[in-house]
Amino acid sequence: MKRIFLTLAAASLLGGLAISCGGDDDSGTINFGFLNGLSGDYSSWAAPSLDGAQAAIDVINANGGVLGRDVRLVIEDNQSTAEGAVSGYNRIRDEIHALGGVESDGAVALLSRLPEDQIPTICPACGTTELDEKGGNYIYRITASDTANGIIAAQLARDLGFSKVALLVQQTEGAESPANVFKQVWEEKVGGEVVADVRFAPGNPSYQAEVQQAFANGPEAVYIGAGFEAGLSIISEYINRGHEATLLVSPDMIVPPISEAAAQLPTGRLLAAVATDDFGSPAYTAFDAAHNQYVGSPPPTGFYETNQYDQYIVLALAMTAAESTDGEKVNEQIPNVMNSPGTKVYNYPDGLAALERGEEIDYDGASSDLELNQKGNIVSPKMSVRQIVGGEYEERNTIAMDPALNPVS
Amino acid sequence: MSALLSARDVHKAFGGNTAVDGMSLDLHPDHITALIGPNGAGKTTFFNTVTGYERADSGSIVFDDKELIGLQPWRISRLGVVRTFQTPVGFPSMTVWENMQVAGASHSVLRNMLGRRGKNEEGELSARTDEILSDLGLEGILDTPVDELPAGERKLMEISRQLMSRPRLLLLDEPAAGVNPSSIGLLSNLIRSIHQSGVALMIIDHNLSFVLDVADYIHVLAEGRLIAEGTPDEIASSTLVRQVYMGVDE
Amino acid sequence: MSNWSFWLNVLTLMGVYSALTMVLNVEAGWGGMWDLGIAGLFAVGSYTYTILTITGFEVSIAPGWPSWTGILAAMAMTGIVAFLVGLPSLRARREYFLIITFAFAEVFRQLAINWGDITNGTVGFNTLTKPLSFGLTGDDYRNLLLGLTWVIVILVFVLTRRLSRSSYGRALRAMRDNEPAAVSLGIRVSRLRLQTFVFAGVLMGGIAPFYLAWLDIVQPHVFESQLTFTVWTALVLGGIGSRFGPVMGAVALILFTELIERIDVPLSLRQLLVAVHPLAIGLLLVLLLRFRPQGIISENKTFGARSRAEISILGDFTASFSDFKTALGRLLRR
Ligand SMILES: Nc1ncnc2c1ncn2[C@@H]1O[C@H](COP(=O)(O)OP(=O)(O)OP(=O)(O)O)[C@@H](O)[C@H]1O
Ligand SMILES: [Mg+2]
Repeated sequence: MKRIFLTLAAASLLGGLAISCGGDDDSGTINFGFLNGLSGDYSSWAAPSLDGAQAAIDVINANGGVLGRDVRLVIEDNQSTAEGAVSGYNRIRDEIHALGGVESDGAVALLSRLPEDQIPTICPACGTTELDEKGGNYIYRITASDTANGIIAAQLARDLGFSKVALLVQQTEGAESPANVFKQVWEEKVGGEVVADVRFAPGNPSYQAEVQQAFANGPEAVYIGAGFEAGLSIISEYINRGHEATLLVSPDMIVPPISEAAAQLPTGRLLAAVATDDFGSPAYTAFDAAHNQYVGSPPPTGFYETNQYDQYIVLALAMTAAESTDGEKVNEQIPNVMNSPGTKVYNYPDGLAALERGEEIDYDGASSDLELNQKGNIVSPKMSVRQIVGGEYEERNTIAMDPALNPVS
Repeated sequence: MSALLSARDVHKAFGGNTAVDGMSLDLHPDHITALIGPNGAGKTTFFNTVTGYERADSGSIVFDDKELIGLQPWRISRLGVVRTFQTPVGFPSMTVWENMQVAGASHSVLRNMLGRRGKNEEGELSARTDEILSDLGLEGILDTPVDELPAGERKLMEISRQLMSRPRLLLLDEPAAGVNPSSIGLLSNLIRSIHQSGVALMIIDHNLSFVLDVADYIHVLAEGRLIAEGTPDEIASSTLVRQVYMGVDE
Repeated sequence: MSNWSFWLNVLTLMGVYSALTMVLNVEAGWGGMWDLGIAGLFAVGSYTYTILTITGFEVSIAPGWPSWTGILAAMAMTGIVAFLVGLPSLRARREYFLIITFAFAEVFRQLAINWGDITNGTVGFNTLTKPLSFGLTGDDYRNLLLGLTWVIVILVFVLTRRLSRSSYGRALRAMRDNEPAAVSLGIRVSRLRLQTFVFAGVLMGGIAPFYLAWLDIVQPHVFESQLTFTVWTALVLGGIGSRFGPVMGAVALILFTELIERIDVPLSLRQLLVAVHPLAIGLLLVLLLRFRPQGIISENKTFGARSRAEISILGDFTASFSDFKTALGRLLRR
């Protein structure tokens, strides 16, 4: 028995004595982590995302780096899962000064970790509603959230003058989060009525019963939150039954098979809204140039490439403003360099120059104006509303999200 | 002289095939009893109904004033009615010593995890194992995995293992099968000494000279029915038995 | 090593999987109960712990208990659920038991998705209450966590070792080897199975909070069958039925996985590398089973001749290691 206790004691000592040796030296490169789904569910976004990120790093280094030091991207796979993100983060943590590239799963898993480790992090591709209230300290989101997607759907329905809506939603985090926001905003902020709320497990061969239930009580619009497979069978069921309520579909359904299936519907019957880049902004022009130079081709759209680019420009500017790589100081500067007031800048060299003159800056990015609220979320993301014309998705108009509808103030 | 086990009108059929067809017998503890009969006569099936591995269709089997039909096999074993198997495999991945230790111990998780009781029990089991194995001259194979034993030794091991659970009635299904002819004498001695130590015995076997030598009383079974019983001498001289069992035509 | 975060992470994960694999070994290795529902029971323990200890989430039950009561409750709840699952399914034959436990695991995951009032649905929980933190945070806690997980490994090892050498352990293996013969010795097989399943459940419930401390989220998708198969792979690799093999298997598997992760490939090959990963593990298994069917450490070596001698725990380790060394030697000589 004695021996057992000795062994136990030895083991605890082993654990307790281990010294942490993550250190920050003042020379060498400044390392920005890129923790991204290089494999797994998000891997189709990985290559364009990485191009966007590399374009930013090239721009930064071409303009003298940060604090006179070169910037290096430390690329790590998170396998598009929370477990992968935790492991991947631990692999690079001791090397990096700041982190970018993460998606929802990783951001949520690292939510308490990042402030503890004082690693300033920007999330270029997080939808999760968990960041609605938990961001704003070491973790900042520069993309439209699931909440924004839910709000924008409610905003559309409101502007079309509807009062009765229904929901038909697949039970996955990505589909349910915006749907729940939609419902909440519709009832509490718009003051409308929800006549049916139908949830289903993905992977069924058909959704007859669900469609019937959702359309039963005469809704004027039905919010459909589904992946494209379930979405496809819902659309054909809708057409077969000859329903006439307007369909507000989630961004996952903005794919050719859906638009082809819905080709026969009158224009404007099916609407979807998705976050869009600020194509007219000088920052987009700067991004476009950088992408051309680094990748040798103009950027694609819709792969978070602008967000991936913006995050490193922001981190580099914040570090310059903080005059240090110290996480705590950089964290303080991140909202400062993005938010007004301050001299508007649209690219890295202009930002550097303004900071050198001792001015406050307000960086407007290629992805949006990057105005953040207290919780590190974009106040009023720009959304593109799409409709189907001749079997293809087309932009109907762009609208800015109405901040008054945001349940999180 | 009262019976330790008495079976009355036991029936067991598998589909349309009647394996045991109204067997009645009394087993007296001071006899070594044998049950013989041709292949497929229903001997093993009878053992199965006694030990609960098969549930008899009708009839009654009383052991020490308790009805056995309907009881679970583990409970019948704990009442003291323990059997061996026609083809003994034992616990092949375990050594002889471990095989022996399985019997007669308590199997409760908590009792094993905590408490001193387990320790005492272990010691007792160990001592008993050593005693039984040395009686049989098997000390040398303690650490041999059972699946490496020759058939004869495996048979002996099986009998001694079942003894570990302190049976009151031991049912041996063909103990001599596969045993080297030169060792049959040793087996007979073992069986006699088990009986002398107060364990009632019933033996199934096809080796007639072995049965006639070791048994005090013999029942003859054919097609599920008992056709004769008596002392070895009586059975050996019965023409009916010679006809049915030994296939001798006179 | 210079990169302590990396090792801290890997060693902690090795500890958690070692403990889980040892528990599976009791059930499947010694008891012959092929449990494919590990992820399900693990989910029960995880959710129980999290719901009882979490703060800052709006779910209908959130008493905010201290972590140690949460751990005990997770153990109790997982035990109860194991009992309820085991009662009907343990009567089934081995192959069916495997299917039933697998199905139950999926049922629990669906329950976690649909029972939003309590589980917070697909969103789940994050920023969890850390088990036994003693007020430590950050790297201090993570160092402690490493110690804690390996203390658990040692506890589980001592417990399973004690069990394997007791009449209970022998009854388990006897039941696995030859059920009719075990029954003939008075072993009550149905109860023994149920006890073991519950026992394993209780331990899994106790291990779960420490995995969560590492992961820091609870979501239904964490408890997909991947987790079950990882533990099984570790068990087969290490040696089904041996005492120390499960630890070797888990350590080897996690190390192998990390090594593959560390291979630097261009982005275009990344997807391929990750796709090849399970294949590589499969190949590793095939090779191992070809040259050493019993796994790194065999059951025979674990028990065998040594079973009688009163040997120390340390002796057990060294015996296991020397067995491992000869195995390695044999492999290398080929
Ligand atoms: N589980 C079973 N299912 C179907 N039939 C069975 C079963 N067990 C035994 N039988 C049949 O019952 C009859 C009696 O078989 P049993 O094994 O009792 O004979 P036996 O006297 O022990 O023969 P042997 O000397 O060959 O061991 C045979 O016809 C056998 O085929
Ligand atoms: Mg027979």
